[in-house]
Amino acid sequence: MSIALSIQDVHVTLGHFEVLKGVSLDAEPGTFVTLLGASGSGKTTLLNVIAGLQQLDRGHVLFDGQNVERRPPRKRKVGVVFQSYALFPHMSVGDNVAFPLRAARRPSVERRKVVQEMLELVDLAGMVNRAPASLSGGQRQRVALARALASDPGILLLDEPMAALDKQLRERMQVEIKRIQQQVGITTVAVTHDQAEAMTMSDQVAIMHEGTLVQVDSPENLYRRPVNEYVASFLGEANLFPADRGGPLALDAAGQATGTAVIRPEDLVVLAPDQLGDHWRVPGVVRLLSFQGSRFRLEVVTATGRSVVCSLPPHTDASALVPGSEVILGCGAPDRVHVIHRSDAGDALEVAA
Amino acid sequence: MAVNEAVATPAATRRPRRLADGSVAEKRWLLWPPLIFFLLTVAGPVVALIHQATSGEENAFVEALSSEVFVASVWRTLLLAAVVTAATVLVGTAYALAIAVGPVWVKALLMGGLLISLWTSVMVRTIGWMLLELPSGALFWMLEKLGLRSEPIELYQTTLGMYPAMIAVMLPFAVLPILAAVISFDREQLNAATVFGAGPLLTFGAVVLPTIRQAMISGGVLVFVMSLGFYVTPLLLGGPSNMTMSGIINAQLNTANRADVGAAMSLLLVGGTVAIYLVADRLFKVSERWG
Repeated sequence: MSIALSIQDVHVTLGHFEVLKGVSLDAEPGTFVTLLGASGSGKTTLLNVIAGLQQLDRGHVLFDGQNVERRPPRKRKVGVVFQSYALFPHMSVGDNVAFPLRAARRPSVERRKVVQEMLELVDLAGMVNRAPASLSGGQRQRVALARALASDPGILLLDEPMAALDKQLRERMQVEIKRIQQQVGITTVAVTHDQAEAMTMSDQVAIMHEGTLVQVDSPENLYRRPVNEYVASFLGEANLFPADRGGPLALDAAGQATGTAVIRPEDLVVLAPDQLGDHWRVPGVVRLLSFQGSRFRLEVVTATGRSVVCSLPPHTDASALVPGSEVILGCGAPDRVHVIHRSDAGDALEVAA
Repeated sequence: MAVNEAVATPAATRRPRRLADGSVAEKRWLLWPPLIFFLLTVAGPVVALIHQATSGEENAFVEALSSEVFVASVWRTLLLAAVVTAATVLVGTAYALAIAVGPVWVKALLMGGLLISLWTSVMVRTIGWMLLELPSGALFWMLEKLGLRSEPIELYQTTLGMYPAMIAVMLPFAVLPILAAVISFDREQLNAATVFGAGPLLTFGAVVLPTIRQAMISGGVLVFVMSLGFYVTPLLLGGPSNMTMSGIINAQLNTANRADVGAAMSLLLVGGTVAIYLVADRLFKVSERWG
């Protein structure tokens, strides 16, 4: 069973602070949506609203078209993986996984069968009788996931699922969670502040900022076509230049700008003197060049003090790019330049709100 | 040290061992002050008691155990300690939970009551209970005002009269360990239980209780062991005909002038208490929690 989730104009105030200022979000059955935002943007609150752990002041939460905002959490059939996993320490792995079924008074034959299935799903078969304390962080997360899925919930909620894992394990578990989610086919909402994690796991990423959803889109669209400057610089590195309808403008023509051009570091190139032509370009002085394995990262400062980041392929001849030397940067892929028009950004914000 | 040597790789053994030996030798003298304190305050009096108990012409232990009054007091003491333990653990758990989840004013009130009762002398509190329990005391006065009772209450200096006061005096010792466990309880587990469909009963029974059970047992053992040797409260409220062990021992020393029998009874009390503690520790691993 997998449900369609619809959140309509949800407002939540905690104390005197308005944490959610009218959030609307729709998720098709079986999709993986990640709420991505800085801490304090309200993403965990929104997750708690879906789970029913947080009361809302105004707005609606619909599961398959049915209002659930007055339904208590235990009647919502949601599966949650908590940030600390919240496994019950005195119960065995099997009893933890069986807990939702025990609460629903299912017969013990069924419980044992489901525990077996779930532990096989998360690759922990044979760990039924272990104590949670004897497991590694990654294994505990799998147990939490198995428990969340045990009672066949309509929606799976993941609260910062990777926060307690080290970096290597994180990348493995992202792929693993995505595999399990696709295998089960369950509608999933995850919360994270890690953009790489959001990009890896999600079908849709919802960028949250100060209690509103700024943009909800596929990871690629968010990166290629951000609706505003916040999204552009939040997701990956972005160089923002003044622009008009025709594309980026020279830096000294900023007065005529009607929008902002977003140029990703990998789309910038260092121009040789004979390549200049009449293309758009940015002159500057090299501040730092660092080799990062798969790329060179070049930081350039323009005459106006603006910092521009450029990512160069690893086979670049970097001998001339010593700090202090003058360079001219150009755009290597003009068709990939995205221009945020002032009115666009305004419209998008209104739509999101 | 032996473990360190066994674990260390051969190449690494030489130098760290000397350092480790030095540091062990350096710290060993730190053990002496507590050892001396222990010898002076515990071992010394026990040796003196043994000496006292064996100083008489007859076997004081046989005499103590064949005294009907003493045997009766042993049962009375055990029953008192058991009931007080059960009552304080039950009330104490509710008390601690109320402090943990109650609104701020409830927290302040209960915490204040707990601390004030801990800071007030046992003597003062016992006399307070005396004033309540006297035949025409505060309790009677209140019931009479309410028109519930016209003849005086016969509670003072009965076996039953010891119970409410003992429970009140011992309550903080049960509440404090349980409160520590309740406060360190992970609230996210409550959310987890709720989200996975558990009602209040299942949540309490399967999630909260197992986490604080150890603390309830430690609090209970503490109260039980303390109740066994408690003197002032049972003596004043139970009266001379309902003495607990400590009251009988005092009577042997001061009234009957049989110091040897009194010493033998004291040793039986201390020995019995230690034995009960060891059994409880074996069963419930109490010292692991305290250590």
